[in-house]
Amino acid sequence: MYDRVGPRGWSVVIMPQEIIIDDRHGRPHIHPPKKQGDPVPIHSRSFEEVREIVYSHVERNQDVVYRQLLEELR
Amino acid sequence: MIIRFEQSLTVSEFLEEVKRRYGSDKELRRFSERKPKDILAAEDLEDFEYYSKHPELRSERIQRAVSVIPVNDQALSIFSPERLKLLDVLSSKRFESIRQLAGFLKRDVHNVYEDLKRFQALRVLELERGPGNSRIPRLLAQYIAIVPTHWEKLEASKKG
Repeated sequence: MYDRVGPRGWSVVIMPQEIIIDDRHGRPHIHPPKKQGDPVPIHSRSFEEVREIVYSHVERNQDVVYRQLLEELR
Repeated sequence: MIIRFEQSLTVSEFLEEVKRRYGSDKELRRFSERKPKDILAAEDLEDFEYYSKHPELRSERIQRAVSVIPVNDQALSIFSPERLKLLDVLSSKRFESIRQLAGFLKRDVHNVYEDLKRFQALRVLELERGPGNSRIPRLLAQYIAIVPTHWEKLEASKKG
């Protein structure tokens, strides 16, 4: 997982699933794996909260389940 | 458990790093066009273009991190004592080539090269072009943190 926080906003990139979560174009949103589909808005949270949710999700599932992660972020 | 490699750099340093990694901003654009599925390169390009247009942000800071979440023991083996020593040595010493680093570590140069390639693929370090065919290994991370598993505690606290 790659994350960056800067004056432009924050982003979290989950590899190898290629899921991007970011707030760089307004409200926080998630891009489906491999950008297959439009970005989906998620609940407004800080970067640290989003990172925690992703960490917990991966540790609990030992994998990334996109649909489930989306529900956890919504 | 999560292993987190953290780096803090200014926008100026980020722009320099991108140029160093890809050769130039043109090369980055070409690379991104050639490999549109490389989303980390696409992220670099988006940030590069944004920050290039905002010189007033050059002294602002960017915090970056690579989190490795080993889901099994095999994945955890990337952090063997030898590889941790390699990272530790790179954090305090500069080497002009991989051969020089291998000599310092008293290890086979090919094995050291393989280890460096693994960490380069993770974007934890870079192999800068040196004189001739040499590569100068440079650690990008400034901090390596171990985040213990805590999701069970987190879930329990949510439930109250």
